[in-house]
Amino acid sequence: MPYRFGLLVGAILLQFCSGCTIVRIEGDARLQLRGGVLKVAPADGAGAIGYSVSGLGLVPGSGGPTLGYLRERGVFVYDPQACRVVLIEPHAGNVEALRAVLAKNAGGDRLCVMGKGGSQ
Amino acid sequence: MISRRIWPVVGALVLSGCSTIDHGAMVYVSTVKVGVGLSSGTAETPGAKFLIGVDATDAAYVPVTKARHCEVKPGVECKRSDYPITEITGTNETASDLSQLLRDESRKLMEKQAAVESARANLVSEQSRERRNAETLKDFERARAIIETFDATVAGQQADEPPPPLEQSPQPVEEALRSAEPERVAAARNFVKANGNAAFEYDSAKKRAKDAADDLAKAIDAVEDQAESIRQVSGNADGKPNGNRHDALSVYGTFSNNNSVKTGADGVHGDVGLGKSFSTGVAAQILADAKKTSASADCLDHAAQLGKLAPPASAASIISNAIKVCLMAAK
Repeated sequence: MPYRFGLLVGAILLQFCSGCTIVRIEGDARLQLRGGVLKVAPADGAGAIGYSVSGLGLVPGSGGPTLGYLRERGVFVYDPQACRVVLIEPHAGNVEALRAVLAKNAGGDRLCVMGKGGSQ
Repeated sequence: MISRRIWPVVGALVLSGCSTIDHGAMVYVSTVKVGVGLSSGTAETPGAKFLIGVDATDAAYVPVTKARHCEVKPGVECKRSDYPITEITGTNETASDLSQLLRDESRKLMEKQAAVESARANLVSEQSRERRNAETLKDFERARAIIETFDATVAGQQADEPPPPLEQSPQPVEEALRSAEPERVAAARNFVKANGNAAFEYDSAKKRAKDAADDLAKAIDAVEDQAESIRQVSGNADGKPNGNRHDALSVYGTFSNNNSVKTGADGVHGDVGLGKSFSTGVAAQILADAKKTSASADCLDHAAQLGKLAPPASAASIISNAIKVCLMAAK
């Protein structure tokens, strides 16, 4: 009985530990919370979705959960034609210059920016 | 028994903020883990992993296909497979080929350099001819002076002679004097006779030498113009695609600002911080080209400066050699 009690306490503590997970979503996404589980899906016509997770405790990541500290940032592309080039955290002010460098033929006109430069 | 013990933990995991993302093609992930991690593996990084400690991962992926669970929607065919595989492609159809353009401009440069060499050889030939004709003209003038001096001497002697009797012709006296004409005067007369147009020949040679010098100057200007043209092609090519390329997707990420390329395309000038960056696909190729062409543009700038500092006679060859070095470095 004490063993089960310990497991139960552990499970409850896990709930408290995982209470400080912050999830940020960039891009056009639909968010659903079902039974405590967050489901992220792209909106119709969304080119890409960026996400960032940071948390302490039991934190879910793209590859699995981590007990401790996790900071993760990722990008999923759903429509490559809308996002021919994906920029992740480019330096502010450089987005336009990068757009010029990449030029039209390299996909500079279909640029998706994730991070500081903003989402497009 | 074990399964009973594990269920609360599993339940806690499920309820403790598990999230799902409708997976498209993952192109980038940056992770920092501290503690205990358990990974079942993903399509991008297959294989289970158990971690104790610290793990940092930055990765970019170039997906070539994707398979998503087919959702039944109007116009969507899901009969063949629940997970239809679709190709992710991006093409880079280029309007111009920078390499070809640079090759063409380099070929023109070589032709103009050959023209400079030809003009220089022609100038040397014409200057040599001018010098020879100048010497001939000098000899001609000297010969004429000898003849004039001799003729003046003869005329003076004729005046000093007592007037001949009326019945005697003056011819024999002059002939006598002429017969005593030194050999060098005779040679001078022959030389003057043979080179009667020495002055004209000298003037012509002088004009031709001047024309040759002008031609050489024009040829050198043409080489410098061509060098400038190559520099502009390289400079304006920043960020422009180099050849037809085809890949899936381009991903570019950056974390700091310690690296840059120059931009010149579309009216944007200045340095673009690439930072401690990574990139994939066409974007990587374009950025690498931009970096390379900006370096070659700098090199060509220095070549042009070198040409300005060099003596005019050797400026063309110095510029052309510097450009060769720049183009070799740009390959």
